[in-house]
Amino acid sequence: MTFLILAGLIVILLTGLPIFAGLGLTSLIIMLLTEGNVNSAADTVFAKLNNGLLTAIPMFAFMAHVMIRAGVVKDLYDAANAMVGHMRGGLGVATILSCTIFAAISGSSVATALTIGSTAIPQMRRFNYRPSYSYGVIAAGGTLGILIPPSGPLILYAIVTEASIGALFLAGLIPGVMMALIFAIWAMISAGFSGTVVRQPFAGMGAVWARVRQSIWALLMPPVVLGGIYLGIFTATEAASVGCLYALLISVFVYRNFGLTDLWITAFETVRTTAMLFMILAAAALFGHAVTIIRLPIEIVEQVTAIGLSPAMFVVAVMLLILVLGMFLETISIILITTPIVFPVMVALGIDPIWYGILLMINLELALITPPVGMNLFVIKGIAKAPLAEVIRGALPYAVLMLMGLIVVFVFPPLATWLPQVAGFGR
Amino acid sequence: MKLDSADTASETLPVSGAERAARWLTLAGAGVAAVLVLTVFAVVSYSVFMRYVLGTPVTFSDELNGFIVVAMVALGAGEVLLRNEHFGVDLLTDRAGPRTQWLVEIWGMVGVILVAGAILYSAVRMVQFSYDFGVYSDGYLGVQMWIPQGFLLIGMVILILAALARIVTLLTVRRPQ
Repeated sequence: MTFLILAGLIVILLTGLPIFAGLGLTSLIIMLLTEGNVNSAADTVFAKLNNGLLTAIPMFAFMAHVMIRAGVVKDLYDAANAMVGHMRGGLGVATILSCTIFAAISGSSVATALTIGSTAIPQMRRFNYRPSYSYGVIAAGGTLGILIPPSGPLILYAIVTEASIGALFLAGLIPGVMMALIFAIWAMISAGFSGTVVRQPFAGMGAVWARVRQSIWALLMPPVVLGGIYLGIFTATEAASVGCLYALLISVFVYRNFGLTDLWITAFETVRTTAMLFMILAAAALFGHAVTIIRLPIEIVEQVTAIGLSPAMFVVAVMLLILVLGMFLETISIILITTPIVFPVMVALGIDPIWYGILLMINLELALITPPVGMNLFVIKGIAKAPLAEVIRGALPYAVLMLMGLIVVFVFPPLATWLPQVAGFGR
Repeated sequence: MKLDSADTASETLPVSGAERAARWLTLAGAGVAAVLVLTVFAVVSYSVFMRYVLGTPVTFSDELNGFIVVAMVALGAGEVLLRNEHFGVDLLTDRAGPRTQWLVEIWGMVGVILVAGAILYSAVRMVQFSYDFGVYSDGYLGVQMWIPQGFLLIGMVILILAALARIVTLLTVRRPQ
């Protein structure tokens, strides 16, 4: 039954329907076949969207839009370049570092790839980096947006599973930094593959300090926003709101390039981001309702118990499924389609939802750079006007590294669970 | 999250009079939703100030924000549709010829109408029930539930009209290949 429903859903989605419509249509068909009507559709959608916790997502999106519009990205990139640009593959490492910092501001992989990519690609072209090398670095660095907090997909996962957003944010920190380090090391190693090791001269500590000072307001943003959550002072929504206020203040008083028109445009852009995202959430609520009516999660629990699948094997099976789905669907849809089915089974098998959430995010990072449907690949293709094959070629080694990262976090769960435990989450 | 603000190609393509009219409606809806974004920001900031500075937590903010999320999404969905910004899987359809692409676009809009129509149908029943039985929210605000629920209904009407208008464009306006 699970296979049939997922296969049916994928077929419907492949016909080119918007994802929310495909997901909604599948759910409505199931509801019609089982209940004979769709009377509960509006109640289900309203109940899902009528959740104050969800406001964290538009608030973080608003914060990111303000920061992008204010133009903090160039300062961040310059600071990262001053710090690590003199290393082997320096601009590649600087790009990964910028992505890591920007990921802690934007909460979005696509936004990270888009904004850092727009700045980094011309720079790397200027210093004669191989095009595929540049594309790979940005594609991979961009994916950090969903692992390093604050992450929109992590918030959505937390809302669907009712897990603690703070715990998930903390859990993403070590794997996020680990992946960033792995990417940076690979960027250094692979810089010499074309026969030329691209280096810039070290500008000196004075220049580094000047660049850091110039971007200090942007660099302070992650600790300001996330510190409150980690210390248990703010909820995610409150932290996002404080972040918005901080972003507006530095845009108006430090960068001095943000007026009322910009405020209106960023609010409007936030609406577009939110409506696009939450329409999928609304349809996923219908899907969750539909699969519950036909007792699908219970059926899976019974089958898993009957065949004696261990929790670890179950997680492996789900990760493989998500790996495949990741080639065809984008991240939010995968979270919202699979979690309502998988979560009850996880609970029955005693799988830690925080650990699973981080595994899911790393797997979804992979989804962002695996063809045929990899959002970051398309973003870079769009910015660089490059052939998709070249972008894919550049991203491929990083996909292998992500797979390795996924395996490492699977084998060593404390990489994800230790920090939240130490911080007192879940006690 | 999609955070790029680049305008989509569809905005520069010729559209029907019906779509131009629908665009005013979707822009109005999205405009109200943008005001709601700023409202949420103001409400949460006020709540943070009251709680952490004055030590008197605001009791209504979560409830109000929940209602606002419903309105924001419902009112913004039509504008996102006309900007072609709803995610879709174009893996197969991208490689199809112009005629098939045209059919796929129409099918996409039909799918949107079917789903939004079903939600609208049940939203009418939901709002009617809340209105007839005088259902109030169970939080501190004590709002009559048909009011926030009504935004879902209005949003689905806008979404359906936007999809219908796009179908009119697809059927009546010849677009450059």
